[in-house]
This record gives sequence, C-alpha cells and structure tokens, in this order.
Amino acid sequence: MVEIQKEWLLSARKGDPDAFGRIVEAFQKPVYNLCFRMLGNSEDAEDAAQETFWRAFQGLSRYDPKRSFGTWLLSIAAHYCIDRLRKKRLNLLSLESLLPEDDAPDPAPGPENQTDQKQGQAAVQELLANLGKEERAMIVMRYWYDMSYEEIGRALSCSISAVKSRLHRARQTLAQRWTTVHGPAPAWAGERHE
Amino acid sequence: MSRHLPFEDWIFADEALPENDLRELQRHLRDCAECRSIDQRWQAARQSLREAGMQTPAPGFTTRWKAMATRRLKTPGPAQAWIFLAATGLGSLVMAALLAVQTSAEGFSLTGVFSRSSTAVAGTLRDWANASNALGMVFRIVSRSIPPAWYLIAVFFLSVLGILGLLWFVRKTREGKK
Ligand SMILES: [Zn+2]
Repeated sequence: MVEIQKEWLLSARKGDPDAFGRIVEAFQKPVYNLCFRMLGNSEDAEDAAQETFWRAFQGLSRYDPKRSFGTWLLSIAAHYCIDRLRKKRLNLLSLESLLPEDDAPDPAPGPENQTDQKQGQAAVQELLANLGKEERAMIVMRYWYDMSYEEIGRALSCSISAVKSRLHRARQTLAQRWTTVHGPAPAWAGERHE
Repeated sequence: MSRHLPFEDWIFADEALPENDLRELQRHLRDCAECRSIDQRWQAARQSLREAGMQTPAPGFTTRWKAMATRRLKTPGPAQAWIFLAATGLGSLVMAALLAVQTSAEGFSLTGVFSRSSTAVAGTLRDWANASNALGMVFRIVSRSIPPAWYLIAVFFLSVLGILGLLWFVRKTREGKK
C-alpha cells in the first residue's frame, strides 16, 4: 500500500484541509475499495470513504507514526462500515446495486470484457455478503491488502487467535457458498499450486 | 477425531504447507471426495477474491472531500451553539430578574400573567438580595434606572435572537452533514 510522507502529515496536522487533500488523493483507492467491499454499492462506499477521511482528519493527533498510515485509515474505514451495517442491518446486498453505472473500474476494461467483469464483481460481492460484518472486513483486509493477522487484529481491535479462527470460519463459509454463487468449481481449482 | 482432520485445516491454511504435509494432503484429496470438493471450492473462491481487483471512486473524489471538509469546518460545533444559547438564556433571565425587582419594589403592576409569574421570581430574588446586600443594592439601582418598557423590548429582542440562533445552528448542522 502507499505510504505517507512526513511533510504531508505535519501540514495536515495544522488543520488545513488542502494539506490533508494530498493524503486523500494518495489513499482514496484503498479506502474506497474497502468501503465498497464492505457495503456493496458505490453510493454507500463513496459516503463511507468520505466520512473515513473526515474522521482521520479530525483524529490525526491520535495517529501513531510508528504504525502504517494506510492500515490506520483502513481501520477507521472498517470500523465505520461495520457500524453502518449494524445500523442499517444491510446484510443482504441486491445484485442491481452492486455495480456503479458511472464509476470507472481500474484498469478500464474493454467493452467486450465489461459484462464478464461486472458479473465477476457481482459474484464476489455476493460471496462476501454471506459473511458477517467483522469476518467480511477480515477477509477484505487479508485478500485485498495482504495484511498480517497481527495487523488485522490491531485494526479491528481483536486478538490474533480470534482473527485466525474467524478467518478460518469465513473461508469455510466462502467455500460452502461458492457453489451457490457459481455452480460447481472448475476442474483447475482442484490442482493445488502453493 | 474426524478422519478429515487435519486436512480440513490444511485446506484453509493461508501459509504454504511444509512439503510433507502437502504430499499427505494431496494423497487425502485423491481419496476423499468430500475434502476434494471443499478444496476445489475454496481454491476457486480464493481465486475470485484475488482477481477482483480494486474498485475506484468516481473521478473528483478529493475535490468532493475538500469541499465537504471546508463546509464542515465552517459549521459551528456543538460547544459554540451551547455557549450562544446559554448567553441568550442568561440574558433573558437577568432581564426578567431586574424587572421582577422593580415590580416588587415599586408596586408596579404589569397586566395579567406576566406580573403574577414574576412575583415568584421576585420573592426568591428578595431573599437572595437580603442575604447579599451589596449585590442587591446594585441590582435595585440598575433595575430602577431602566424604564419598564425597555425590559419588554429587551426580552423580546433576546427571545427572537435565541430563536434565530437556534434555526441558524440547525440549518448549518444539516448543511455540514451533507
Ligand atoms: Zn476428507
């Protein structure tokens, strides 16, 4: 993930939103993606990502420079999304709302790949929607950001053993649900390439 | 112990397995259809997560954030609003108290409800004034030197100011949250 420059942090700490804008620019993609994976639609993801950066801006004095800034931001985003899901009880995501019409996915796919991509993304979101809020956050942190168990634990305020056992359960759920989303697994999936 | 253990755990293991374990797992997967199915599905699901890539926000995300942040920074915080409300509230109370002292001291009577309700305040205030004479004197002098009509105007003015302040604060807060 991107890392932060010390000068950005110093000027942003003085409360200048323009200075913090550089941080927003640099981290918008990972933060937005986490919110999208958690909430399942672009409108909520935009809202949540904006709010995440606002909270980070307001709480910049609480950031410990010894830790990764990106992980700190993702932690704020995850907590906010979990809270939002709890409030909305938005556990089942509708297929239509999964993909934004006006959002440009990155990298921009050719028109012939767009339908495939949309279906693939929708399937991923449908898969994630089978998980509980915290487990979803753990899976996203693990498979999109390659965060260690320790980093995930710190970000979500739980122990490493809790992260391990919940990720294990989440993987079981994802494997179980794979067939309902995709039909039987393709033959290649059986060959283990570690 | 289940005959699928420790293979089930190994299937979902994130780290690469030691060579011996991997060989054992592969042998088990050949023989056990149940574990083979779980393994295939997990491999496929994991692959789809890995290939999903990053979703990006609509262009102009940073500009939208800056606009929102600037708007929110201009919005008065709850502390400012409370100070404002407390100041107008206190102003109204002082006015009412001054009027009450004047009313009770000179037997001045405003019509109806206002006069009756101020009597109670006046009673309390007289007791309080007796106890702290110096302050009471100042209070009486000030209260007598102001014509009664001014009190009404001042109370009216403070009330309007309070209501306007409250409306402004509510509107600003809503704007800021958008
Ligand atoms: Zn087995």
